[in-house]
Amino acid sequence: MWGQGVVRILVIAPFFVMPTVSALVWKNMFMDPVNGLLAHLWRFFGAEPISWLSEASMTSIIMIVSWQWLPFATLILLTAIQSLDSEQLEAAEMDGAPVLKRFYHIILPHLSRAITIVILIQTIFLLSIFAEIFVTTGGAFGTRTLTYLIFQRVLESQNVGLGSAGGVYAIILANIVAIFLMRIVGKNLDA
Amino acid sequence: MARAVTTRRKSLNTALAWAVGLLIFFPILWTILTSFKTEAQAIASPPLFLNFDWTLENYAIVQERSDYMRFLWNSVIIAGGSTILGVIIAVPAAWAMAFVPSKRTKDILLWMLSTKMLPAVGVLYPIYLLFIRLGLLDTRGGLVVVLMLINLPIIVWMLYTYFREIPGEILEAARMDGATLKEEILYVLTPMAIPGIASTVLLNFILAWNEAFWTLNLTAVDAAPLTAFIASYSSPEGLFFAKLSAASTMAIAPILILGWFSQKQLVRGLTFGAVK
Repeated sequence: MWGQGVVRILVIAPFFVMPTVSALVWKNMFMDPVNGLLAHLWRFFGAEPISWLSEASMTSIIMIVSWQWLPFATLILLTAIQSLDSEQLEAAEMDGAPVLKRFYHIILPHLSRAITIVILIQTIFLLSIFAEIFVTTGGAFGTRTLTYLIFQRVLESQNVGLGSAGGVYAIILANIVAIFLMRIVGKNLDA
Repeated sequence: MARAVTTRRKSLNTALAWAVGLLIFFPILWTILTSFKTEAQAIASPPLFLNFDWTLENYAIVQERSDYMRFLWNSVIIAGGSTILGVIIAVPAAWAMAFVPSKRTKDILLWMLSTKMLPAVGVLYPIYLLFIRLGLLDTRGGLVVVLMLINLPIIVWMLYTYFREIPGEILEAARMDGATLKEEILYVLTPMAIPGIASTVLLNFILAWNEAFWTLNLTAVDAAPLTAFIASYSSPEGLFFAKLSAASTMAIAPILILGWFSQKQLVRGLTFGAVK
C-alpha cells in the first residue's frame, strides 16, 4: 500500500501523547461548547452545540480514552492479521465466499485470540486511568471512578481508612481480569 | 498470481486507510497548527486551517511565564533516571532467568508481571505515607524510584525475551574456542544484547515520560515534570487555546519522535508475551 509506513505512524501517534495533554486538548479545543471544534461542527450542521463534559461527561471521557488507546489495539490486531495465511483467503474466494463470509469465518476466528488479549490488557490498564479525569471533570458529573474516589479520599479528605478499603476493592477488581491474562501469558511461556 | 484485486479496489483501500489515519492524527495536527496562531485566530469562527499568520510568540510566552525548561528538565531526569536505574537492576535478573533457568524461573517471572497488573491506586496510600516519612514528597529522587519500580516488571520482561533470543550454541562455540567468562560476556554476549537493551530503554523512557498518576500525586512544585505542567493549564489558562497548544506541542514533540522508533517494542513490552 502506498505510504503504509506513514499511515501507521499517524495511527500510532495518539499513544505517545501524554494523558494530561490529550485530555486537555480534547476538553478545551474540541469539546468546549463555545469555541471547540466539535461545537463548530455542530453549528455547521445547524445543531445546538453540546457542552460535552457536563452533559455527556461519561461519553466524553470514553471518547478521549478510546482515542488514546486505539493505537495499542490497532498494533496488536495488525500483528495478528499479518500472520494470517493469505492462501486460505484466496481459496475461500475461489470457492465463491463473499467478503462478509470470509471475514466472519476466516479472519474473525483467526483474530479471536488477539481480540481477547486486547480486551484483557486494556481493561486492566484502563481500570486505573486517572489523569484524564483529573484534568477534565475532576470527578464531577458522575465521572468519579474507583481510582478517582480513592485519590480523593486519601489525598484530599485524608480519609485513609476509606481510601485503603477502596484500594483493596480496586485490586480485587483488577485481579479478576488479570487471572485470565496471566493464564495466557503463562501458557505462552511454556511454548 | 493474478488475483481479482483490481487497481481500483487497491487505491480505494489506500484512500480509506489514509482517511482513517488522518482522522486519528487530526487532534495532534490541530494542536500543532493552533500553537502557531494568535489567540484571536485560535478561536476564530469558522476555524482557520492553514490561512492564518504563523507566529512563534506563544512558545516564547509559555517559556517566559511558566519556565517550561525547568519542567522539561524534571521530565528528562525522572524518565531517564528511572529507566537507567531500572535497566541496571533488571539486566542481571533477566540475564539469570534467560541463561540459567531453573524450575521456578517461570513462576518468578509471572509473579513479577502480575505486579504490573495491579492498579497503582491500590498502593497510593502506602507510598504516599512512605514519601512523607522519608521526606521524599516533591523530590525528583523519590519519583525516580517509584517510576523505576512500576516499570521494572516491563523492563525485566522485555530484557528476558530479548536475551532468550540469543542462541545458546554461540556461547558453546565460544567456550570451545577457549573464551574465558570475561571474554564471553564482553565479546559475545554484550554485542548481541545491546539492541535488546536499547529497545527496552527506549520504550521505558517513553512510558516513564508519559506516566501521569504518580507524577501528579507525588509532586507539587520542585519536582513537577511536564505531565504536571500541562495539568496546571487545566484552568483558566486552558481557555487560551494557542498557549495551551504551544505548551502541549512542546511536551509531546520529543516523545512523538522517539515513539516512531519504538512502535515494534510497544507490542512486545506491553502484552507480556500474550501476543506472539
